[in-house]
Amino acid sequence: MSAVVLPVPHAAPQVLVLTLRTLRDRWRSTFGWGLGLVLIGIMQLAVYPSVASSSEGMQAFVDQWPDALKEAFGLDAYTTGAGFLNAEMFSMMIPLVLIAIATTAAAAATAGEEERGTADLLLSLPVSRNRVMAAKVLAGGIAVVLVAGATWLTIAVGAPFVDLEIAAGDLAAGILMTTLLALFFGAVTLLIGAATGKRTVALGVGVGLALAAFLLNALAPLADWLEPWQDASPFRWALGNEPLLNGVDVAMAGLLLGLSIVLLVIAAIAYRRHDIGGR
Amino acid sequence: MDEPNKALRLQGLTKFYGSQRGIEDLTLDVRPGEVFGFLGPNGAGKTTTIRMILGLIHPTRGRGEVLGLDIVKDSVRLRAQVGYLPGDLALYDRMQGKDLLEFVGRMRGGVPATAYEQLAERMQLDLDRRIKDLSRGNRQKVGVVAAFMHSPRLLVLDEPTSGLDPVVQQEFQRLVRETVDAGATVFLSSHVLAEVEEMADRVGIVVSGRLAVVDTVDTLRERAARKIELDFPAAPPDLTGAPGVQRVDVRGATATCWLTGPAGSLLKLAVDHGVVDIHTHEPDLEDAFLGYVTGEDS
Repeated sequence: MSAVVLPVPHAAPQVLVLTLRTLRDRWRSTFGWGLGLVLIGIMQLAVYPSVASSSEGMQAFVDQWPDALKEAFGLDAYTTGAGFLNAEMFSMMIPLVLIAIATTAAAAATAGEEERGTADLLLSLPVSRNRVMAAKVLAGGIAVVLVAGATWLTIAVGAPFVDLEIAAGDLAAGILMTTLLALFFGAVTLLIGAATGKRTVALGVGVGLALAAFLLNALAPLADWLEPWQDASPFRWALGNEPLLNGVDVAMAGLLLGLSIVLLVIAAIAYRRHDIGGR
Repeated sequence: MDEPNKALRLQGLTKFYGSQRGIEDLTLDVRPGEVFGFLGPNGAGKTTTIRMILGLIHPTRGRGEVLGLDIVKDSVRLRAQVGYLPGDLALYDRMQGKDLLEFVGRMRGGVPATAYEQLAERMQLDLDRRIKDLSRGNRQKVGVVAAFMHSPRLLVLDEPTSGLDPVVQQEFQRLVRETVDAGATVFLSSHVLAEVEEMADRVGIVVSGRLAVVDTVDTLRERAARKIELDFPAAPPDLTGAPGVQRVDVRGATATCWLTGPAGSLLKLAVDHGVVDIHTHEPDLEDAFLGYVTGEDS
């Protein structure tokens, strides 16, 4: 028989090749989401001067609202740079788009390959499931970070043109906290996908939990019975300390990152044990 | 590493999906350098077995080795030695053929482009087209090239010629023979006896999750029940007593006989009763299996 024992390929090039392959596969959707977020950012910046110039009237109007409502819609100090960015971008738009990128990438990562049937080809190659998982996490993480970075760049470059005052460090803190928030829900989705092999289930759970967390955080100030639960929302963890004003909340950043890592480890274990479904 | 004397060894390999049986208690040895045909009707457990060998699914019990490598513990090292053609082949549709094969080669630690280009040329496969624009047969060719391009020591082929046109099937069979001559072993699953008997040295037949028999193709063919249709001018005579006849179905003036062994006595009896016409059929899998079951019962 053929005497040549074929060697197991090294980890780094294998993970790199699969990461690039996955990024190429997801390039269109990532680019679409990123472009959308950048355009929204530009639009919001464009309307800021009119908000700022009518600041007295606008602020007076907003001040009439109940405190709870102001908090719910992030309208404290609406006409300041940080307040405006928080209300229009960071309380909803940026986190939800980044979460959309993270969860769709995570659902496609293992469960998507399995549903398309390509998992049979990929996992018949001499690559461990841990390496596949590592490459998929890298690719998804890079996609989120790229879009978050483009959004940061758009606002950082655009703000001076419209006299929107925001400290560079605080802007970066806002981007960092929303990025960590998205990675957390990506990790949740990845775990469900790795354990079940079902893309829609993973996406449903990941997106469902994210929306529930968003609504809980937003509506808690409006309802007494909800208020005690607000601290259970990852949105609260990420944005509760108002990173655009106060910078990074290190404890909460650590909590989000730590939980994400725990979820990823569990996902890797679940994936190793999972029976890949035939089509 | 000691050179193992078995290319594939399965011992009591079992897979249940909940309470549903995939394959049960499969014990099987495949020798180095042979082409082993793994035969059975659809749903018999062939693909389940193959996907356990590749580590895609985990055994409920039992164990298996490929070239001395455990199918669970040494799965990654094992897969480096194996070329696999899935039965239900799915490829990255948006890629061109050459990009897909380059990707597969890189994931295998680097396979020279000449290796897959030569194979593609041989199979008359255009590597510049996107996979989604290829016909089913051409996609299957991409799968064949991906399975063979790194000169694996064991080839696991699940229903390999499905979708290939007859000319390409012949080229594929030549490729298998050359690969075996170069020292590789082939594990070939199929639900069509004809596909396997062309290439295989030995055959295992699996039915409803259990291995029914392992034998050489020659023995199997000898023992397989061939179907012979005999047309008579009127109601056929009683043919069940003729030597080798396993079963007779009568419909009008036609008697359909399943026969193992020499046909002489049956034909003589038929001629004596004025047979008008005779149709013979190559044994298919169900008939071959019928020959086995009835042969063992008697």
